[in-house]
Amino acid sequence: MSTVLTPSSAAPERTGRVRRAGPMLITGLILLALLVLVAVLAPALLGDEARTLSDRRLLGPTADHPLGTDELGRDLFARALVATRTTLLLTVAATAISVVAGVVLGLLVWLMPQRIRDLVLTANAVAVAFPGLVLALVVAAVLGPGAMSATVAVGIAGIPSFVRLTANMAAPIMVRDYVSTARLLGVPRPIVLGRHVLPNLGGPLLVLSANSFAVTLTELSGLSFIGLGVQNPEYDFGRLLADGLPHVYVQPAQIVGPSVMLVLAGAAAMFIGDGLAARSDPRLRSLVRGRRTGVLRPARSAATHEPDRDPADSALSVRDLRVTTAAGRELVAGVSFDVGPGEIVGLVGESGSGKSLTAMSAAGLVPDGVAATAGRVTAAGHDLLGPVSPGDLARDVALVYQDPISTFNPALTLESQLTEVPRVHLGVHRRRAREALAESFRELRISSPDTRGRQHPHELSGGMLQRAMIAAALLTEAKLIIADEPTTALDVTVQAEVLRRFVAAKDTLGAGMLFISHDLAVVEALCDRTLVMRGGQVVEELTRDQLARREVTHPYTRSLLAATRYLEPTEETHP
Amino acid sequence: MRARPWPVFLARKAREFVLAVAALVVLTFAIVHLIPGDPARVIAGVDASSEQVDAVRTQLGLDLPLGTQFLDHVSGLLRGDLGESYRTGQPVTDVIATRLPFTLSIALVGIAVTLVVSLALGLAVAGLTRGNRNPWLDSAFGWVTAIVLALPVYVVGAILIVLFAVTWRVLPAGGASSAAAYILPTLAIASGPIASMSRLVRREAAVVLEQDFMRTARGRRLGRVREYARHAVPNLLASTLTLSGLILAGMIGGAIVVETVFAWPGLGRAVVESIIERDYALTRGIILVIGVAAVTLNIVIDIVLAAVDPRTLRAGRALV
Amino acid sequence: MSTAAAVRRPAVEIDGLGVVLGSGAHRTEALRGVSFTIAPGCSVGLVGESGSGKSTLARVLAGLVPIGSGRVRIGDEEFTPGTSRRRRDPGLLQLVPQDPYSSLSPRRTAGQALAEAMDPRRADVRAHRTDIEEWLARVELPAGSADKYPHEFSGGQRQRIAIARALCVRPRVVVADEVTSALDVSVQVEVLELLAQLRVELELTMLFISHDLAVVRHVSDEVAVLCAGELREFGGVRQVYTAPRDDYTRRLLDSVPGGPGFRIRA
Repeated sequence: MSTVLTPSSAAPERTGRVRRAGPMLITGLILLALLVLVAVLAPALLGDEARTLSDRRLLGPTADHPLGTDELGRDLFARALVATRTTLLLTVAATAISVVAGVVLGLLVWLMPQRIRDLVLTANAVAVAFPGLVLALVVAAVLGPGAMSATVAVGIAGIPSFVRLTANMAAPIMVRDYVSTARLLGVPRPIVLGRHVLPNLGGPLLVLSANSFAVTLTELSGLSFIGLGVQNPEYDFGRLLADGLPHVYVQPAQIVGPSVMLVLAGAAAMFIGDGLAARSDPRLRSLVRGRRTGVLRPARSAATHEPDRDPADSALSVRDLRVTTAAGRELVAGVSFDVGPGEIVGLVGESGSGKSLTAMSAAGLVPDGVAATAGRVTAAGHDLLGPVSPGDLARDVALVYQDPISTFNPALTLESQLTEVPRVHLGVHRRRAREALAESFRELRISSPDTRGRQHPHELSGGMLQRAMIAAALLTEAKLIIADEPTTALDVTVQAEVLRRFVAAKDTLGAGMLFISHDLAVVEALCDRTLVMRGGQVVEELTRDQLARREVTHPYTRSLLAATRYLEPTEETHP
Repeated sequence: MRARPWPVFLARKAREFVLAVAALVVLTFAIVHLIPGDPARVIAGVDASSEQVDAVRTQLGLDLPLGTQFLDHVSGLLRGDLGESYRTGQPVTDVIATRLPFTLSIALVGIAVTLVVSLALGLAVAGLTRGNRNPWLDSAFGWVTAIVLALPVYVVGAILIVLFAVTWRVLPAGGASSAAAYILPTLAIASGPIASMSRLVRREAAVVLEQDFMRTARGRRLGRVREYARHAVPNLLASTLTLSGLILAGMIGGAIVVETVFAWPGLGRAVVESIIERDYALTRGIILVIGVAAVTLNIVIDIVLAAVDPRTLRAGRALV
Repeated sequence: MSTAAAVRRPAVEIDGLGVVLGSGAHRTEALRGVSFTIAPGCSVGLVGESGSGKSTLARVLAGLVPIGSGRVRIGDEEFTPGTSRRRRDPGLLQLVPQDPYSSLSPRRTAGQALAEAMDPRRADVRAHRTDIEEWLARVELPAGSADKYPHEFSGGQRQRIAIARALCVRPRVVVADEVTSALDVSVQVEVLELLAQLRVELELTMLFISHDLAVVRHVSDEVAVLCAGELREFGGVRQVYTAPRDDYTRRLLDSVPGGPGFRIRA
């Protein structure tokens, strides 16, 4: 349902944008075009010069020979350019072997029964872990040194990683509902692969092919360089480099030609790959410069808001809160409210209403990608628009989030996470904090409270985790609890009990609570006051009694109420 | 399963190791038999007489039935006997024993340098560019790593030689005579892996930093450094280590090539020469040793991974 | 078979169905001795919480999970543990999946999605143009929707396309698996009202699955309650909501927010 908006999920801003080629992609394409041009023209124009022997041997750079000559007096500049054709042709051939065979095999495994597929993929994983160059050496050993065998060797050596990548990328698509639906509709498996899986792999595969071209170029030239690839009198970049290296003490310019060409060709492929990847990555596309995001600042017109009530009396006091994206779109447009001590205030709205952003900003936790301003934000007595001690804030404001599984760090135990605030900010000793946590667990009726803390999040149910989260609030005696859809991910039979524990914890602490929900029925049963949000604004504020008596005026609240009633078990029974 | 995941996990890793080594043994054995045409003729050379070819065939046991040959090969392996070099008559194990330390030392030093540098670099860049901050750093990192990745090991090596050994004359260009001789080869083989691994770390870190639990950690207001060190790094290690096995395996390939550049007397040089000279016993032995090293490296990484991230322990492996 | 007998004979018969998922340490009994029937033209609401086995049941009916014990009959086709997983006639049963973002391929238009249902092999939009437009209109999508891609639709509209795709095959049975749970409340109501209307209009035989007891009320004639793989209650909508026989059903009813038994504060 509703989560905190990040720029990448703010779809409307993106749809208008045309996919533009970034500077990297353009540079890569230009380089590639130049290289292709050289590969086509150089052998015809410079072929003779590159072949002609002369007695001007091992020269340094001169006007005639910009890169000097080799030990047989041949022009090195011409040789470096002429070698482009051989190098590119062989690299393209080897890359094609890896990509085509890898993609076909990687898709074919999905036509196999699961047992055989697992076996093939395990065997393939071993092959991937095996150094590609060594695999190429095996093939070269079998076929003997030579351009042909080196190309086949490098091509084959690249297959396992493409099988793995294709199979891995296809895996999440194979479990997508549209694939199983297509199967149910009677579409044969090979057609499913071609119609649904392959098109969705197209973009990533193009990126990977470009990267693979760079790797293949390196490996293929490497084989030539160590003497197993292109053999004299033929030459590619690797061969030229190997020929030049022994003379490097006498003439360092010997290695310049092939080195520069190799790097240019490799960089062209890398740039194209990265450029394509960046183009399809929405996070990088919505890049807007110049604005700092993830911060809460005082509004410029802050002075106009006279303090109508001493903010120190309330658990949370917010005036004129505005949240805007980096691109300038307003997601929360001037929201003001108070939460008194011991009071539960509900914030209700549908997805995109800005309710989660409001809650997070009120806690001073503005997400990256948006920036917030406000006339006043006072949480648990701390003015968030001025300098605040992080320790005090962490102690006094407790937060509970929507998805219990993802809000816990999977790599750490419960207690090391939940006792973090007392240990880090309040200087409580580890053992003491652990005991206090067990005590809170007991208070929240969590079973086996003494050993619970040593478990990892994945060992606990969602309801248990949400109760553990509220235990952290008890631990620090928080004055404000902000709960963002804390029961949405839970089973209904668990929901009521978890909410009861929340209320009990709030009563124990005498804390104020801001409760965000999409469910008007839950809010009605729980909250003292309810704010209805839509399109970044509070459209209506209702007391508990008003909501119970259905005394609502705003048409949106009415329609929300009607929808909620429709989804209640019985229409006639309601006290 | 729930009670003791470790024995189950280690048993599975042991099984994988045995299977991979078995596959390697079969593969290396098959090298000679996959040669198109008559292997004995290829080995003896084009000019050899048919008597010479027959002699080669007998000497290499190629006249025996395939099954017998394979059994001989395996029983030899079990006794620690990899056969003898066809060209020099030297036992293959001796060749490997004298050359392995050189290759192993640059590979291990390279791996250590790569891991340390790329973790620090990747995390720092991810943190600094989080939420579209410092877009210049984002693109600079992209351009620089792309160019470094386009630099083959042997080109880096050649450039380093020209700069440090030829122009400035501060470091030796070749040989393994002193500690200083390690610096250039290590730099050469680590540059590419550092670029690709710091990219990987940076990408994974960007994902981890956007997770819900990082928001939870932010709510505890621990300060950025503590927040990253305690909450991001453990989750980063798992995904990074999983893929680093592949990058580090690639480094073994780099070590082979770099030996040619720096005239380094390691296994890489030996295997290349053996292939050119069609000295199959030597090729077989060296490829087997390098392969076992790569498989071992990956299994070690899997085990470290399981120790770092308990979820992997249960799943057996993080990725297919 | 006479028409009278065909009417009386249930469209779906589930008899002592048991399913075991996983093996070894991961072995779980997802369903245990579940039996109920769906009469032709009737709709059964299947309710259960996470881990109740309701999605497993949907997957068994769709042939995606093998039967462990017992038997299932859909139309004239009988499925038992021994039944080979041969290709099934698409006209037998269709599924409307839960997640509106996963149920449509991002690279295929609404028209192509429907064309695939009408002609699985060729999926030719032009040949079925009128049919496609008729179906999209039936699920109340604006004209011109056929040439739009999934990302141009809202979550509720995507679910409408998925519903049209399942129904245009005219299957004997439709299984709707949590079709509204990913939607906003007001959109949920719209989709539910559409389904309630189509149910009557097309005389659908339907199994409507939800974790929310309240949701199934408007689209079901009978309700089945599943808990931990066992069928706890099966009865007419009125009876289940007003006089539940099983304790678990009662607890479920009391837990629904807004229901009479929902109490958080003393």
